[in-house]
Amino acid sequence: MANPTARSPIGVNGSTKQLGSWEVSDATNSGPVTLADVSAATKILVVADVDSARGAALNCAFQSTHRIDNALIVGAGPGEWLVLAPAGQTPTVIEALPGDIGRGDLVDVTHGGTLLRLTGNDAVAVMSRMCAINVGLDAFADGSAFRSSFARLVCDVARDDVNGVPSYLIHADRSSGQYLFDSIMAVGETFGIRVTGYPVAGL
Amino acid sequence: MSGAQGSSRGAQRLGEVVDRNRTITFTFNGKKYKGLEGDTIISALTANGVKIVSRSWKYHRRRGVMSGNYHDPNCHFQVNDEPNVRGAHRRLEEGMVVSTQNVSPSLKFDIGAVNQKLSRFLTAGFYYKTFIKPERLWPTYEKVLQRFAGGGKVAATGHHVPADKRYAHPDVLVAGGGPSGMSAALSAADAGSNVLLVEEEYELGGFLRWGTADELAVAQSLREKVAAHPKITTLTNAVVAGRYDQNWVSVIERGLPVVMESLIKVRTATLVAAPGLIERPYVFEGNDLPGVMLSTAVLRLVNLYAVKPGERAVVFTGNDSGIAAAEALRGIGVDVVQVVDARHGGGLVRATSSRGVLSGVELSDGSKVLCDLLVVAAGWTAPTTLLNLSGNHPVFDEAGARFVPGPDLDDTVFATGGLVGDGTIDEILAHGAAVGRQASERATNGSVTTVAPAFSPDPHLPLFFGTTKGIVDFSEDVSSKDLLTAAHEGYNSVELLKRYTTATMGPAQGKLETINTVAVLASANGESIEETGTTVWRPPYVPITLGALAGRSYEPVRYSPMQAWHESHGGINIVAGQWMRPEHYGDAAKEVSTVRSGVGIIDVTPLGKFELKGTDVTKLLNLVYVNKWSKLEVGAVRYGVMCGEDGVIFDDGVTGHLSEDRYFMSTTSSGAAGVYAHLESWLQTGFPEWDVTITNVTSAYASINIAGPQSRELLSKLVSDVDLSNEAFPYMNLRTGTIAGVPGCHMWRIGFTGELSFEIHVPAGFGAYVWETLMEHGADFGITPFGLEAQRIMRLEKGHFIVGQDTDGVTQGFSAGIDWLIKLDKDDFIGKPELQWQHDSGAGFRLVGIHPNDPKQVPTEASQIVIDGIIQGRITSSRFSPTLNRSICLGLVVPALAVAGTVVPIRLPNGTIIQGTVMEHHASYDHEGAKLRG
Repeated sequence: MANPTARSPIGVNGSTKQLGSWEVSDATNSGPVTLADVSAATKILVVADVDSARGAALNCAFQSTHRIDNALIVGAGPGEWLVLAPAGQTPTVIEALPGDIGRGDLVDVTHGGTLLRLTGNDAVAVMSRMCAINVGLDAFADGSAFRSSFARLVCDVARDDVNGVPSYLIHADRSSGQYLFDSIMAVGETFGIRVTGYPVAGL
Repeated sequence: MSGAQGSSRGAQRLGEVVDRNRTITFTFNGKKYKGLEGDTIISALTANGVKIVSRSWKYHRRRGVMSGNYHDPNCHFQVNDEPNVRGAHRRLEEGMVVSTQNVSPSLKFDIGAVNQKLSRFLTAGFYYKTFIKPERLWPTYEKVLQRFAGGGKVAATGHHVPADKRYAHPDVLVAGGGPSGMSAALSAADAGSNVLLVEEEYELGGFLRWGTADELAVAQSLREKVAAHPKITTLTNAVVAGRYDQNWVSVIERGLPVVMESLIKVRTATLVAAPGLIERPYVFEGNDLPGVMLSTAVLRLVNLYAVKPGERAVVFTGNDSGIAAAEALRGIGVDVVQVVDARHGGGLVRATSSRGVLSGVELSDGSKVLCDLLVVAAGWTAPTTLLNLSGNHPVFDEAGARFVPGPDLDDTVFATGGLVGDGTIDEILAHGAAVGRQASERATNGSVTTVAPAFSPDPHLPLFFGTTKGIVDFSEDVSSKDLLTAAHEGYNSVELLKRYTTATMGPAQGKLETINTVAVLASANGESIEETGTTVWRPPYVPITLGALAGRSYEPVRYSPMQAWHESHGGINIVAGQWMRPEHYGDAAKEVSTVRSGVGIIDVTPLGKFELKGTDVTKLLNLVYVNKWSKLEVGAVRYGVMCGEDGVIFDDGVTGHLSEDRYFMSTTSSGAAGVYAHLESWLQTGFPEWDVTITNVTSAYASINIAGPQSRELLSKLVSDVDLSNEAFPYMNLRTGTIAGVPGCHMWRIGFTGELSFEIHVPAGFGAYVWETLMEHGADFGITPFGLEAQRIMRLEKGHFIVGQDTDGVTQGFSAGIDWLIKLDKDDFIGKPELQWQHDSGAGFRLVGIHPNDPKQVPTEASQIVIDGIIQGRITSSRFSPTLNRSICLGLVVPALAVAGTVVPIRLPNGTIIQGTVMEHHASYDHEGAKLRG
């Protein structure tokens, strides 16, 4: 039997590459705004009381993000943290979680979510067409996060700039992934949005 | 075809906005013309000597350019397939097909002009008076009258440009990009505020754009500063359409690439209203003749487009704008034969016509002057809409003959520019700058310390109407005579007058005609304008398209990981909530037969799935389900039904015990969101002390039901680490193992179809792979994918009810035939008191199996069972069973009929009565469950 292949909820137009068990796009494009499907990324959900020791150990305040090694902790929901890391690193990420987080209640939701990365100087213009939250560069600084309606979906959004360029990670339910991707591409048409593949390193 | 620039194009003007090197070809009413890039439709037509551009709404009078701006009621066109395009604003584009609206058969010969002959019968209130009786004929009247309604035609098919919607959050929004608006924006931005500057025209500058060389220089300087300021975002060809509570401001941006219009939902800390002034028409006989123009229309045509609007002009003015227009006309070679200055006693009696256009004027001194252009500069209207929408009550300034902001201005709303007063350019800029600082102070720290300089309107003659009658509302063809008639008939309040005559209700929405309407009414009533008051201003400020209001449509759709496979293998989609699901793959009956005899797989990913963790999960299960959960062993699954506090069935599903303190709950597909909210609600508000964490993993797992007598054999090919034998893995159990090399898959021995079946839950990323592998390995068994329809047939054969299909909003637990499941002897649970009552009283319908006596007859679902005129039940589900070769049903009936063997009359939608027999069991197929347990 062949090795099982995991696929993102978003169909790939063009060539693909294998990233562990995941099949991902290997397109490389740039432009004023790009959209990458990074759904293959590891996603761990940690739930704890906001004022608990477990919550404090994550060192990630509500509506912010925090980096540990190569993982990004996103505190978009009250009492909920989404730990994002490169694909196929679930055990490593769990091990690296501070305190006793890794030994507590957490759920691997890697397969349950769609994760998109919207990058570029026009990314904020695209965002402002899909979400009522003020995502202006001043108001929503690098390292900020929120959960809100985005294209009429409940999404967790984190600003995670790449080499000084505004970049947003958008996490939604997996089943709505293709819809979310298509919606962003439709809005981004005005700005010449281009699809790029899973990044060489990181998310 | 006319010349490259048009016969009336003059020499280059200092502030012209056309590019003489770029010619654009377009057609107007089928005739080809040329214009220049930067032209509006109207400037290009005027440059080509076209004077009559439209017909009026009601009387079909010939009309020409009047105000020459966005609000010009005479310049609405059909452009390609777009109706009601503002021709004095819309820029020319190559290949534009422009046509006149509201004419039949042509602009030149319009049969509707007969209304002019009938005008004495079509006065104010004509419709009300004429068509009120007989009332029964109104539908006929309505159809006829609709044919006379003006406006363009919306293409039923064809290219529909999408609209867009976005959000913005500036500190300060400045509405109006004239000198005061730009000054306010720069000042607010210099003070540290993020500013959104919105301008209706294509470029900033306001009235400076068609002004003197000095004024043009000021405009250019301001534009450059605005463009260079990093804290100012400028939108041109955009308009502030409305202001709502807490400075929620709607802005419409037009003419964008890709999208036609964009609605911008702006939440701004402060709002600066700087819309400038709108020139007011003057009411006199012949004031709507082609050739009668407002001074600002002339200044625009001459100075922005270098177009001569006539050859021989008379200017009637009460202010310096008329003087400026006269100078501009002379500068482009128009013969200005007379300037009649009302400030020096000059007066205008009427305009006269020849061949439908202006031919001369009669002045108050009795003289008559031949001309083809009459320029009117009678005064200004302050567009106070944004202030009114902010709760302000503008007051009428008698000396200035216009409204100014009232004292009750919201402390987050500011006004500057012509809306407030008049002055030199320096004074205007100074006031704008001070107001901009105030707006910034309020936006950033709340307190305002800046004091704005005094600013008020210059004195102006109250020039509203002359000694002869004329048109007041150019959009609706309402004359001053109509208004006087209405006032004399008793409609002498401004709101009643408006509705009776339709004055101010046309596309101009009062910007040009409100003050004159009020002035005429005030005169009729013997009151002042202040005493008469104005009508209520409501958003939007200008008409906007429904497409812009709707914006981009976001309608979330959910797909399973196997959707692409379904679509490429003939799956016919059905929309189930937000989910797209295959209803069948071509032949549902054949799918049923294959499953019953061999094996089939169905994508059941939409089933709600929750992972429950914690030491108190069983408490939660006992609370929300009607049955008992304390003794559910690890590895076992159990069916459960949830009821609301009213005892009505809310959802059903299966929950399995994965490991100590860890459970996996499944729900119905449509009920998943509701169940999640239900569980969280009880946990967070009822029992926050319980140690339970719920994670919605509906999308995290691709779910596949493998059904049929050969399902075990098929699954065995792909599973190596779980013993699938009936002894090791019996019915109503679960195991976790590896399927097709994918670890962490949950396998359940349950079956909705009534066959031996395994419901597998696979990490979603591997869903498509596992599905494809099952199909590949199932080929030897003749495997079939099956859809919702086959599943529904098989579950009906098996007698399994569907919540929401076989139950409704009043179906309590015992009605569904789950008496065996409801445990009234356990501690309190949700719905227990109501279920206890139902148990004791025997109330409510009962769900039963029904077989139509004619096995070929399938009663429509919801067919009623009526006895002696009283509804005694209804069919809830019905299908023709390919397995049993007969029709089968489930139905809800009164208890007296819920006895096996009872024959019930089923009334079909067409009134036919058929007979059906109540069966002993819900199940028509394997009611003992031998196949499920096999």
